[in-house]
Order: sequence, then structure tokens, then C-alpha cells
Amino acid sequence: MSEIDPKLSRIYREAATEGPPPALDAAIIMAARERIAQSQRPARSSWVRWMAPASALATLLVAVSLAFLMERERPETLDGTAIRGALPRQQSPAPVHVTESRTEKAADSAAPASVGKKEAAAAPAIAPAASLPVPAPTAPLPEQAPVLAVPAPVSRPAEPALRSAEPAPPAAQAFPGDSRAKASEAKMSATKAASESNVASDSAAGAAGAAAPAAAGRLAPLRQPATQRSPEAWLEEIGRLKREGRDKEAAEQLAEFRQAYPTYALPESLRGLR
Amino acid sequence: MEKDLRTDEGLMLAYRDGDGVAFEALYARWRGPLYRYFLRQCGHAGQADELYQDVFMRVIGAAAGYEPSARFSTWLFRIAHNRLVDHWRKLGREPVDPLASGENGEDDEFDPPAPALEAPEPRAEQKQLGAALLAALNELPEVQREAFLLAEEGGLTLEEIAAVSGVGRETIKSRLRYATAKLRTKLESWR
Repeated sequence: MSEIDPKLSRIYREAATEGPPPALDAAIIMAARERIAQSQRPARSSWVRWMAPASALATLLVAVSLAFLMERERPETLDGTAIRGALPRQQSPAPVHVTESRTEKAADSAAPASVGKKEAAAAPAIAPAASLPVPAPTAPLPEQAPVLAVPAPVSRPAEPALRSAEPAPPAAQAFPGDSRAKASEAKMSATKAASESNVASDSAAGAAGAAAPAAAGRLAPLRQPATQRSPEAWLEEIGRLKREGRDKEAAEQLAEFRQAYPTYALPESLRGLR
Repeated sequence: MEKDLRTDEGLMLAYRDGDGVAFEALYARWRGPLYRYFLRQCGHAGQADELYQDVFMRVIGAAAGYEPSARFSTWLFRIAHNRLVDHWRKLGREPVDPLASGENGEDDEFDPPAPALEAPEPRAEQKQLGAALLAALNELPEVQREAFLLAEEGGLTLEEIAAVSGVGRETIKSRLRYATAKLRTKLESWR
């Protein structure tokens, strides 16, 4: 610049060498870097800003979903598979005891080597569930086959127990009419059944292990109302057995009935049954 | 460290776009001149530190919207000038131009004496001469000193100094002439 003497300018530049202190340099450089970091931060800071509400929303969603699922599951417990699975065990206590004793006896005779008490004991629990989907191969299903509606199979749990120990058609458990034939067949095919029953009883035991506690737990409060069979229905069943000529079974049922309902007036047609 | 060949404006644009190294290069170029501008004008290192830091903070803060409408040095020293004026106002001081009557500079031409010595001085004497110049500079009126500093430290042209100072080009020219003449006079005793 012509207004400034070049010699003055040179003297000044040689003399003026001061600079800012290093701390000031560091502070300014740091501030400059911070500004860059801030400009690159918005995406992450927006995520951080939304992270808490998003977490709360997700938690709420999970909680509501769980509550909804539990609400939906409750009716299933009442009228779904659990009732069907547990129904045969929900009969009056006396038949159940008979069932167990018969089961042990039958299982011992049918497959003494492979079918143990444990498997036989597990059988009643899983037998109905296992038998339901399988159609009976030998006898046609009667009209009153539905498990929930017909009390007949309940009164004869011994056969279901035996069937459950065998691979024989489990649906027969619901139909006591052919249970005798099945029992004899079971004896004849004991050897064959032994190997097969291993599979069946293993799966039955496994299923019972998993299903029975759950079903029992879920149905514990329901057991009393479900197990009570009306005396009329029971008597009607006994009458049906008698009409079919199965007097012995009818007499057994009647004895159980009298044990359960000692003061109930028997109909005329059953009085002679002993 | 390899010298960055980008222009000041290019470095500032790079910094605006997130290049931290560009700012460091730019800062290295201007840290001394700006600091000395404040040091000479304030005469107090503490105040110079504060003003200097403040100006660079403003540069950093304005980086996001920076557009090179002028040379970076002009922009930088305009910020510095405004900050200095604020500082003076805060202290209750107004820089007085002793040549106010000739504000336009036209009717107040100053003809400084020609340089007396051209021969190189010995080293020690040169150092003393430099100290005498700085002392003489310190005695100049603020506006003349600022014009000198903006020319010497900022490398600004008359027009740029005028734009920064908010006065006419001829006024700056006049201030510079007066400043140069006074400095020469002060240095005469060293010749």
C-alpha cells in the first residue's frame, strides 16, 4: 500500500510478533471442533430424544398385548381343550378309585413287562385327550359320542386306562359297549402291544407330564361343578346298560350310584338289578 | 505440517461444511494478525485476549451461514472492528479522530517527509527501532492506528479498510498518511 512507507512496514512486521496464548488457541480450536460435532449430532440427538417415549410406548404395547392375550385365554380354559382333557378325571371320586385299581390290574395283565404303574397312572389323564381325535376302528360311533354330553365313558374309566396303555384305538374309551372285546383283544395282542405301548405310553406320559399339571391347575376351581353328574343321567346310563344286556356293568354302576346317592329313590326298572 | 493452499474463503467454506482441519489452517493464518490488532488497540493483554476470543467465537458461530461475499480478512476484521467499538463504548470511550475537520480527507492532505535512511541497520538497532515504532504506534490516535493496523495486519486495501471502518476511502487514505508521518517523526531520533 503506497500510503505506508515500505520501510516502516518492514520494521513493524519484524517487531510485531505477538500471538495469543496457547490456552486461547486451544479453547478456540476446541470450540470449532465442538461446533462440527454439534452439526453432525442432530440425527443421534433426535434418536436420543425419542428413545425414552419409544421405550415407554413399546412397554405399554407389550403390557396391553399380554393383558389382551390373557383375557382371550380365559374362555378357552373354560370350554376348550383343557376341559375336554380333564373331563374323565372329573367324575365322582368313587369311580376314579375304581378306575385306578382296574387300570393297574389291567395294565399288569396286558403288558406286565413294559407298561408300568407310572404309565398306567398317567394314562387316565391323557387318555381322553389322546382318544378324541382318533376314530374308533371297530365300532361305529354312537350318536351320543360327544365327550362332554355323554356321561357313559366317565363311568367306565378302566377301559380308557387300559386303552391308553395300549396302542389300541383310544376312541373306544368313550364307548363302553365294545370295551370287553377290546380287553380280550388286548390280552391276545399283549406281546405286540408291549412294544407299541411303549411308544404310546411314553408319549402319553410325556403328554400327561406336560398337560396334566397345566390342565389340573387351570381347572382346579372348575372341577367340582364339572364332575357332578346328575343322578338322572347316571340312572339313565345304568338303564341303558341294562337294556343292552350288560347287567354286570349295570349292577356295578348301580352300586356306585348307591354309594354316591344313598337316599336317591331308584326307578322301578332298576330296583331288581343286583 | 503441509501448508494448505486453499484460499481463506475456501477454508471457511470447508469449515462450514464440517472440515475441522480447514478451520485450523485458517486459524493459523489469522491468529497473529487479529491478536495484534486487539493488542495494539487495547494496550492490555487481558482485554485483547477477551476480544480476540470473542471474535473467533463469532466466526465459529457464523460459520453455518457463511457466504464469501467479501474477502475473509475483510469479514474477519469487520467483526473485530465492531467488537472493538462495542468495547470502547462499554468503557465510555469514543475513538476520536484528530482529523475530524478533514473527515473527507480531501482538504487535509498531509505530506509526510521522505524516508531518511535506506541503509540497513545493525541487528540490535533494528530491534530497538521496532520497539520505538510500536511505542510510536501506541501514541497514535485510535482511528489512525486502526487504519495502520488494518493495512499492516489485515492486509486490507484502502477500500476494504474504509468498508470495515465505515468511513470513506479518502478518509482512510488521509488517516494512513498522518499515521505514517507521525511514525516517521518519532523514529527520526533513531536515524
